[in-house]
Amino acid sequence: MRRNQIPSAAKRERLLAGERLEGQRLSELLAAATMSAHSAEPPGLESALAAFRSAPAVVAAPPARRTPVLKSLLSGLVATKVIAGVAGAAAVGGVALAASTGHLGDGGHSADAPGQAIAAAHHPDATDSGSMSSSGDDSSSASMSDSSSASSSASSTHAPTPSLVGLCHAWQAHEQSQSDHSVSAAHSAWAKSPAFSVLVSTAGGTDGVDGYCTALLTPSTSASTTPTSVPPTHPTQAVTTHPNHKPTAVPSHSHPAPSHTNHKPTATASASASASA
Amino acid sequence: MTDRTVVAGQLSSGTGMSECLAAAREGDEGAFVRLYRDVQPRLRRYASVLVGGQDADDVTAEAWLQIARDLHGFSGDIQAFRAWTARIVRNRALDLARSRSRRPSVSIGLDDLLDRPERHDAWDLAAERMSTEQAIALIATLPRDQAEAVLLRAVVGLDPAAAGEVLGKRPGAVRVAAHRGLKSLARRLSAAPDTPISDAE
Repeated sequence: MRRNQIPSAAKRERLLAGERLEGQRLSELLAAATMSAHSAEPPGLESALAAFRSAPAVVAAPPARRTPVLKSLLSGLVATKVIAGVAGAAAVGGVALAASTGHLGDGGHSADAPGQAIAAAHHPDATDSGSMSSSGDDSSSASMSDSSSASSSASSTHAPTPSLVGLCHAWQAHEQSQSDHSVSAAHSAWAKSPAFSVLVSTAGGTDGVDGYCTALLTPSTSASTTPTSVPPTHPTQAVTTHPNHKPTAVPSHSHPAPSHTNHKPTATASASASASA
Repeated sequence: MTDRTVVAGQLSSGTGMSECLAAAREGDEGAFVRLYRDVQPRLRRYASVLVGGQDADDVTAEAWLQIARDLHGFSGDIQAFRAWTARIVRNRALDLARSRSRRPSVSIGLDDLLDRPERHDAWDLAAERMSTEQAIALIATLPRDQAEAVLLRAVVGLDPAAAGEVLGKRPGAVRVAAHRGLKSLARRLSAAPDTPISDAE
C-alpha cells in the first residue's frame, strides 16, 4: 500500500516532536512506540509510592495508609505515638529512624525527635552526638540488631542517610509484586542493586532483609508505650540477653535471621554508606 | 494548524503535568501517582532500549526510589522532570552494567552493556499494527546513540537540548543521531512487506 520514501528533514523533525503524519509508516511506528501502557497499573508503582511516602521534606502522608501490617498493630493512644515517629522518619530519612524509634521507646520526648533528627541529617558529620546518642540509645539497637547500646549511639551519629524504613517498604512492595514469579526477590538483580546496599548490609545479607524489615516495620511501636503488654503475636524470648533493654527489643528477636546475631550494623552500615556515596 | 492528532491511547503531551509535579513535590500522593503513570511508561521504554526488557523494570524501579527520595529538591517543569528522570534511568542502567562487569576497574560505557534480548529479527515486525513492544524493539536495533536519541525525543518527549543533557551531548549531535535513526527506520519500513506478521514472537 504505502510505499513512502524517507520523509523530509522537516517532517522527521515534526515526527520527533510528537506529531503524527498521515501515510507515513514511520509515523505509525512512533505512534506504536508512544502508545499508552495497556496495563491499568504499571508494575512498580507500589514500591515507588512506598519510597515517596518515606521521602524527606514531605509532609507525611497519613500513616494509617502506610502498610496493612503497621495498621493492624495500631490502636488508640499508640497510634498517635506512631504518627509522631513515622512523621519523623518520613521527614528526614535514615537518621530519623533511630531518633524516632528512640522516642517511641522512652515515650516522653517524641516532640523533639524531628528537630533533632533533621539537625543530624543535615550535618551527618557533625559531632553533636550528645543529643542523638541520648535519643537513639537503647531503642535503635533494639530495632537495628542485637548490638549493645554503646554501638547504637555510634550508629545514630553515623547512620546512612537513605531511609531504612522507606527501603523496607520498597523492598516489601517489590517482593509482593514479584510473588507470582518463581524468582526469589532475594536473589534477583533487584536485591543486589546499589539502592539496597545499605539495607542489605544493615540486615546482614539479602537473606536477612525480610526478617529485618518485618522487625523494623512492626516492632517497638506497639510494645514500647505499653511495656507490660507485649503482643501475643510476638512471643517473648531471650529478653534476658539485653537486661537494660525494654521489651521493645523483643519483636526483632521474633524474626531471627541467621546472619543477624554477630553482625555489627554500625561498621557495615557506615562502610556501605561511604561506598555508595 | 498542523494535524497534531490526539490519538486515543497515546501518552499525554504533558498538559497539566507541571501542576501535578508541583503538587507531588509538596507531598500530594495522588499527584505523585499521576506523575508516575505519565512518566514511567516512557522511562521503561527508554530503559528497555538500554538494558533490554528483562532488566528495564528493575532499572526503572531503582530509579524511582531515587526520584521519590529527591523529588522535593527538584525544581523545573515537566519537561525538565522527564529529562532528570531519564538521566537517572540512564545512570542506573550504567550501574547495572558495572555491577555485572567482571572487571570493575575498567571504565564502561553504554556500548558495553549486555546484548539486548529484543535483538531478534525485529525488521520483520514492520506490520500495519505494531505493538509498543515491537516498535521499541525495532528502534532498539538502531545503533545505540541513534536509538537513544529517537527514544528521548519521540517517546520520553524531550526537546533536543534536554535530550542532549541526558546524553551529555550537544543538541546538534542529538539532532543528527535522531534523524539518522529515523531515516534508517524509514528505509527499513519501506522495504518491509505490508502484510502484518502475525507470529511476532
